[in-house]
Amino acid sequence: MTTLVASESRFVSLAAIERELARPWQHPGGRREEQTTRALMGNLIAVCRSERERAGLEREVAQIVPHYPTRALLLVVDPANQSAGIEASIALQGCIRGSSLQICGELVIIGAGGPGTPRLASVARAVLLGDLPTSLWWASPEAPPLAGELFSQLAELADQVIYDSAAWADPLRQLVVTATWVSGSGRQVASDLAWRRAKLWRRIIAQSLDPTLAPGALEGIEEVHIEHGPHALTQAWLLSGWLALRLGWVPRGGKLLPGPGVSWSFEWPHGRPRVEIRRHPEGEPDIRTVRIVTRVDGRPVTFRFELQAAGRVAVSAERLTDRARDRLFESSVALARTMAEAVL
Amino acid sequence: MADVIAQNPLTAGLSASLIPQPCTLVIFGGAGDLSARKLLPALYNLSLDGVLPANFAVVGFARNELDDSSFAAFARDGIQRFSRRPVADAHWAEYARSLFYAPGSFADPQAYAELKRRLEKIETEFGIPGNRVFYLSIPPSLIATCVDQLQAAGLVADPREGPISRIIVEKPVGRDLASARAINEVLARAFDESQIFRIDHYLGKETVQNLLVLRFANSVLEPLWNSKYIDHVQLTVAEEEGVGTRAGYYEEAGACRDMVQNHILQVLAMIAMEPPWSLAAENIRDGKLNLLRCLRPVAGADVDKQVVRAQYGPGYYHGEDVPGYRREDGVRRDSTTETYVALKVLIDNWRWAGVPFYIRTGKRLPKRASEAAIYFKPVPEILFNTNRDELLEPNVLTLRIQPDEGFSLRLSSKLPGPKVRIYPVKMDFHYGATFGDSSPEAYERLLLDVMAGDATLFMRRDAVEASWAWIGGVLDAWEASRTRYVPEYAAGTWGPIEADRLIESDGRRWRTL
Repeated sequence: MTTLVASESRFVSLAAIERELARPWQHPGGRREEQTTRALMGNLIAVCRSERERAGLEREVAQIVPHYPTRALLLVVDPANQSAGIEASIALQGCIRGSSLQICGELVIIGAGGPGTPRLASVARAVLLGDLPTSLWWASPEAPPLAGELFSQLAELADQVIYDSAAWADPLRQLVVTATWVSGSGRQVASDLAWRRAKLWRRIIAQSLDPTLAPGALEGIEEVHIEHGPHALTQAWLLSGWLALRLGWVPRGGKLLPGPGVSWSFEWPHGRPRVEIRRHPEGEPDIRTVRIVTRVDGRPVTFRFELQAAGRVAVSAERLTDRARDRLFESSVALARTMAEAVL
Repeated sequence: MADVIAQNPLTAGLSASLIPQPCTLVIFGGAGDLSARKLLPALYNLSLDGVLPANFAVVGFARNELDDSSFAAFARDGIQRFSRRPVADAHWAEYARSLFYAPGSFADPQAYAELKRRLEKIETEFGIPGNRVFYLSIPPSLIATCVDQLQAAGLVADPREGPISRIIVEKPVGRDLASARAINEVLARAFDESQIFRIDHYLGKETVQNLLVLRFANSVLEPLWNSKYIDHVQLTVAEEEGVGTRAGYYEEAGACRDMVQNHILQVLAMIAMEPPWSLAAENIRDGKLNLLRCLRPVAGADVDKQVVRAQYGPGYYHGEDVPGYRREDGVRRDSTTETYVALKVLIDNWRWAGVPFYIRTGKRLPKRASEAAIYFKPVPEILFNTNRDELLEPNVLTLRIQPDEGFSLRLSSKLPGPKVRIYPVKMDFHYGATFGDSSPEAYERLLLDVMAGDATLFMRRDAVEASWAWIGGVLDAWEASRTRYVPEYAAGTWGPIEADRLIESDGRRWRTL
């Protein structure tokens, strides 16, 4: 029987973080059979921009920890706060197995105002556990490269940079900036959670249009209609980019539609397919439906897909353990940038 | 006529380790920083553990005008602040009973005559058979004076007869080969090499002592301990602190002299030495010396290719602003003293041919950490290692010297689940978590070894001079360059970009600690 437990967070000085986190498992005390152990797979640096974002992010990190035991460093960087001070608090999360406590989450919350921002990277360097994979989760609703020096410094410490383009306020411009960064990110693996959440869409489209099941369906695509909830334009955009990339469609032009929406035309030896992306005013920030108008064995067929996308926590936890570079994502982002630049 | 007893039959069933002899420990500079921070707390902990000789006393000898009771108060304050265990009132009186103080100038023959009289009185009182250990916790410039005065005062006994006389000298021994030889000559004038204990507290750390155990008491490791299986080794000694109050010393020393010549080369020697044929001190010391003699010289133009030096600039330490090195009190504004050094070292012997040892040490790095990391060669690019975008991470054996002494082994493991996904996992051993009690401080072990006459963990003259001879190539090249520019790294970062390039040019990366 496993019971999840969490300690209250408490304030500590920056210099005492390591000592306080190590205390329960390094100097366990108690009886031998009441051992405290620690499970840790990696470091996670999660960055957000306000106390309001912090509450949600803290909840998500707490949900990730049972799947991915981690030392999580949650940086709350509030530019509106003009205090130069930096505050730290720590909390532990664990599970009780029999009479043993296994610590699987070490949460360090660092709060800083605008003037304290330049100091945060040095705090992170001191708190990260050595010799473990480190992921930077840019959980703020802005493209990471637009965050300036703090992002560059934290990305240097990470093997992987995770962000969620679903939250972006100006998605196309931010997509262009981010795509440029992704193409030159060097050793860091870039991961967009919006792209990861679209994996099920890619799979179902690929399987449904497979030539063995639906002969001629790929060559016969005439129209693709993607409908998405608010803040999911980049997800739809990336799905279009992926489709175009894999089928070798060459973008011919795009235009913004009232509604709002975007329309794209492509060209390839089998015809001139068109992609239309439309936004629903309400709902989850994910793709809602995909409709593909094509021909199977010469007969007109419309495939309509409707899916419940995986949650952000599940996708994040999966991404933390699967750190492989995703070439398909990188190529899709590059094509999506080309498409975005054309309509901007 | 009865046969002479060749072997002591009374030792049957007793530990084979050497036993600390009844003695008086005289601390030169007894009222100083090292004494308060390390020596007196170490002696106190040994006393608590009941491992000091039954007949034992400590005499502080320094210029400060203290008496026995104020020296005891000084000791108690140091123990309260720096000991791994707090002062226990029940034990304190017993410990304090053995603390004495003799004021005097190190250059004054009268002070030594008085010291001798005091020692004789204490020895009578405590039943100590004239055994004396002199701990020189003093600047190197005073060593000759103290040694000569000790000899002149008749305080040094012949090693072949009579009571024991031993002398402990702190690192660094000298600041180059010539000065090290000069100090060694001074010591040799009064003491036999068997009486000289050159102390490097790193060698008293549990993990360093455990190096030989790990290598030679485990059958899985030693067969892999060579160039066939090991890709490279990284040695890191990182300090959070800046130069602090040691600017006077540090300006003359720098990171290379302060850390590389002694701590790091000694640890490197223990990692890389050939198996000794016995655990006798001289065999182990011979092994280390042989290794030091195999270090490929780095000199002249090679220094620029294989060595990086740098100074910390302004930055952050635990979120606070800290000044750059040249703005520290006592540091010249145009100083070129290095606070960081990174080196690539090659060992020209059969075992290590082609295996680079990357060394880095510095002040004002993000955290305090000393470790040796052994990187094993990667598995072939077949089976689970076919994705060239994401090659499997190699196995790494990490020996943590401080803090949190212990070691870990990084392996690749399948993640639970239906798919085959490989993830690096660490098997971790922590002394504190496994053995409960906090490990003894290095000085505890080393002081006990001196009292027992076990020199295994101390540097022999030839090894000290071999280290200086090797590092001298680097120091000479720096001296000759007369550069006014030393690269900077921001305080609170892992060092300069030049150090990254040093290792990255070989297709490797520094570890994140």
